[in-house]
Amino acid sequence: MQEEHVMIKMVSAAQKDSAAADALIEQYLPFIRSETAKVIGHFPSDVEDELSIAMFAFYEAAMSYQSGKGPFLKLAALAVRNRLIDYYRREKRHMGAVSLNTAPSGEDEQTMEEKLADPVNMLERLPDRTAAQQEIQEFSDQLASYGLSLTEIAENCPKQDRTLSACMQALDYARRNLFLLEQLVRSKKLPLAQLASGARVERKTLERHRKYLVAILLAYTNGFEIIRNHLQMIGRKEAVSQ
Amino acid sequence: MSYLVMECHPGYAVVMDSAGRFLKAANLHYQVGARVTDVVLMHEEEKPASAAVLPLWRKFAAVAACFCLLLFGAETYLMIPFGSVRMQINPDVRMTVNSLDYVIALEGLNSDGWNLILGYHYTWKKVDTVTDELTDRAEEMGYLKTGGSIRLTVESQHESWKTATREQLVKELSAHTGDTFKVEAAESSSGNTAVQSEEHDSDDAEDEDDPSSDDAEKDDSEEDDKSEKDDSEEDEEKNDQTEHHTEEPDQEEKTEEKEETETEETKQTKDAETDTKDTETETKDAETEEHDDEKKEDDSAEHDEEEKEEEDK
Repeated sequence: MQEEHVMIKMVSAAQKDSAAADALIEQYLPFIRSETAKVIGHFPSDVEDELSIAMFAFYEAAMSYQSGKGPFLKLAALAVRNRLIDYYRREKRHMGAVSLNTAPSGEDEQTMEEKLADPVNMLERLPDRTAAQQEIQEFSDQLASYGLSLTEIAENCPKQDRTLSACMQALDYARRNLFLLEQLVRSKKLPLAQLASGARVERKTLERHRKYLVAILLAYTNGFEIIRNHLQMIGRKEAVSQ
Repeated sequence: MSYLVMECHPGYAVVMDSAGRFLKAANLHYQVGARVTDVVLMHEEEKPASAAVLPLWRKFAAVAACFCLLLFGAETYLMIPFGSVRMQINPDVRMTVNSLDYVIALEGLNSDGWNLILGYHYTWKKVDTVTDELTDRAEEMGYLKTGGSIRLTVESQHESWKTATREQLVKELSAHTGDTFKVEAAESSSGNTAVQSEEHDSDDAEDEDDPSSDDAEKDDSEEDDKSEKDDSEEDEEKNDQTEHHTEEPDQEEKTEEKEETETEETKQTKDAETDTKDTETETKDAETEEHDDEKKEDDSAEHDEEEKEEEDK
């Protein structure tokens, strides 16, 4: 009974804080491994995708748990099992595919991956990856100065397309009026009234997604080229397809 | 669709998709800054349904509507008649009572009754209070004098309530008036006149003994019928007695004639029972007179024959 109360406290803390969620998953990793083994039939290693899926299912269960509706561990075990079954169904389409890690029959021990020529040199891509990491870290630090984290941004992100397009209208208006972006950086406050009136969007819609708007407007201030390129690349693709 | 990995945690990763969405996905050994194409996204979180936030005027309207419904329901419940109490002094008054013993309607059944309740407010008063106050008013207005009688008749479909209310009212009113007046409770719905007297516990307290109750009887048609029946029974007994008196002197000589007359009488009485009781008594009186005449004629004829026989001898 006492353990149940402690667990409920930990789960409720995980729902509010991402660091507490990480600690909860680390603490219950043996349980997650055990539940994964019940489904896949063997004890999973750290590099297996099934374990990652199981940890993700455990995190989902912690986020959606409501105290007073039964014990958490039963919910978590069910979530892990269902997620793994979904994952296997999804991966079923690739069942006939041959893994690159296997060696072609009747040949030497060299795998197919080693034989295939890589069109992109990983060493050449390494600086890009490092630059992206630095930029994203800088972006995350800037968000922290607003009191925001990327996890919060993801939770505050619009789910419906209509809401997302309204936010994008506000972003376009801000890009055409750069003083709004400067005002955001300078005052650390979102100019909601000007965005709503200028983009002709309901202010309430923007207020509901204030955190997301801060992040997306911040990405269009100076210094975040890679993130902007990612967004603009998608925009170009959509324009070409249209 | 391409996703840019923004943040990695043990249980999940935050990725940014092509449309600018920030999403949570399973962390399949991703690294920050990597571009991935196939991710396992988090299900939509089902937030618990929270109470809808209503504007203040809507809350006020909801509370007002509930209050109105409660008021209407309570009024409907309180205004349903549960029974009635009829108070007969000389003024005749009927009180309609709800289930909480409150008087919800008051009406006079004769002109004195209307005069008695004229200007009297019975609202939010219990039936025992109203009976006490009406008794006081009747005394003040001269309808009720010392030694007078008050008859209470309780009518209801609920027998237990009827009995309890009757007993309570008699006790209350007798305690209120002291021994000044005679308080009676009559059950008019049943055939028998059940009278509970506080002053006279014996069964001898009949209606005829009290003049004020005679006045009350005038209004009660059922009891009049009963008294008529009683009168007719008494008449029949008298007739039988008169017949016995007429039969005594000639019992031995006229046995056959008696049997004939008796059979005729029984037939006639049976026929007469179908008619009204008043007419029965009249016809029976007439029949007894006729029988007496016939017997006298028969007696005179017999005496004539005996005299003739003696003369012949």
